[in-house]
Amino acid sequence: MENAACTLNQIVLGLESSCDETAAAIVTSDKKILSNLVLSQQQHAQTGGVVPEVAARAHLDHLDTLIVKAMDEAKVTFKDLAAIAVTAGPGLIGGVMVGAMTAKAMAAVHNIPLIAVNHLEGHALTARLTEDISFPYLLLLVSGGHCQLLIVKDVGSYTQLGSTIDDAAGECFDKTAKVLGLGYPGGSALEKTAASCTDVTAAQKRFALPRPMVGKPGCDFSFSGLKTAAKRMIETLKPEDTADFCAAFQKTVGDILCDRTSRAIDAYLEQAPTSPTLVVAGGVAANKTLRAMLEQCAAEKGLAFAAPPLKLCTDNAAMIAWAGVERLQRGLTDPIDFPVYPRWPLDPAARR
Amino acid sequence: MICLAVNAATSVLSVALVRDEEVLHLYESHETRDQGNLLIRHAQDALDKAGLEYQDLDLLAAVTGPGSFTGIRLGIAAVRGLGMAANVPVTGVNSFDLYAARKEGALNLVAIESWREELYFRLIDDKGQDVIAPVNITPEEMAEKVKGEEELVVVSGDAAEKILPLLPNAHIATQDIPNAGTAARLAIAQAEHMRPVPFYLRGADISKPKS
Repeated sequence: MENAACTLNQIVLGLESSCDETAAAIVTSDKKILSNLVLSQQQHAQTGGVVPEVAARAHLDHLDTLIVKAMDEAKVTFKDLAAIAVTAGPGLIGGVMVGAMTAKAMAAVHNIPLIAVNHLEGHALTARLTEDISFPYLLLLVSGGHCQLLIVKDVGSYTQLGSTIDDAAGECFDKTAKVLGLGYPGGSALEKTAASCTDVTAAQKRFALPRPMVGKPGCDFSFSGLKTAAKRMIETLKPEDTADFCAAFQKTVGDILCDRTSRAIDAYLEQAPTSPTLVVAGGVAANKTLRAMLEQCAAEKGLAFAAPPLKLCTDNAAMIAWAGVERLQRGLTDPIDFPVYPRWPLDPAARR
Repeated sequence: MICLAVNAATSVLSVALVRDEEVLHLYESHETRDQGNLLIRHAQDALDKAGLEYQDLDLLAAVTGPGSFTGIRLGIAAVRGLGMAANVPVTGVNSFDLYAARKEGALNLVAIESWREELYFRLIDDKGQDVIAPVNITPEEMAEKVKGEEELVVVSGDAAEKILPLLPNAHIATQDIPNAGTAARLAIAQAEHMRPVPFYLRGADISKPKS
């Protein structure tokens, strides 16, 4: 007779509110996304950056109705939920608290297990929701707030190989796009503009931007020098050169990411993984040019490559629900008074 | 009618379970730090002690502010989450109504803590009508506005002592300090129960970030 516990399909509600996306999703343990709703806050475009209090207010305004919609769309009720998973950090704490409190309240009423998810673990495990990837794999996590290389050994078990010593790659992207007048967040607008460049190699020669850390030992990143140099170059940029500049900038970011990642691959391969894989996650992984460069970089070292579909690269709640599924299956649930964390590294031993 | 009310918005955090006029359970804490994490635990305690389930409640209420921005959100998020899951109506009680001390022939000045130089004020007549609608100004500015009428003024609110020295002829409210039990009774008395919305009374302080 089959073990009922193993065949039981578990349904998890996930909530995300740690930055400027309010999100709710329903995901099952057999990897079906029954609903995945993301509300991007538009309020931050005017200020050119996320104002924490504005973000927290917007999360409260929309989260409850979004949950109802996500549950309706998935055709589930509270009684069907095996767990409620919610981002408990790291991030803008005002928003995190709104999500955590909402989750605790709902869980209390129906005595549903609660799971406090590390937002970064949500990104880190997404590839296991969309593909069959086994531990340990190498993860490049690149977003507006994070840029790090980690070996994902298991759920809750990470070794950080490198991290940014200043800005995140996504921040460098968004700020450069903003200086170019492409709006905020402008990472995707920058990518679109770069697409009309016909000769990237020539563009990169004309706009020779610095590539901090490239060739240096270790796997750490640095983007602030590039951000400053780009800003200065834009001051004298002719409008007709915008596409070439964007392409050069994008390629430079790609060069930095590939250099660092390829060093991390060497360190990862020393652990003799059974099926060596590079996973790229986070908002920057939505950039097709960078994705292609990283895929190439993985292939050169004999690694399989995986990146979640674009919609699951940027902040969403399906990844939180899935991290909830993975933790639930290992019995990792949290008490009703779990704390929230503005900072919460995946590898507690990491310096940054 | 049984109502569970939470107040995380003003300087004392409290959770109360009230049946009509009777307070079945009251939790209060002057330590607000990290209390957000414990709010639901206190709500559960209240129900457990009364032998009730969330589904047995007729109403859930949160204090909606003004007060601590974070506290306003915690209380409202808690109540909305509980209401949604238990299918119980939810409502809000604002901090001015909570701290109001109406007295025949008097003007009631309600002063609410903002943890800043400016405080939240509202001046109400003995019919409950606004004489000065809710404002966010300094105690000095507020004192200037009630000059000449000081003797008619009864001051209440969790920031009352911050303006009293500026109004030597005004009176201090003698009522008990309100708590979530008061909020629950006010909520029960409301003619209509509406989904609670935050009453911040102050903008989000948007300053242009450095690029």
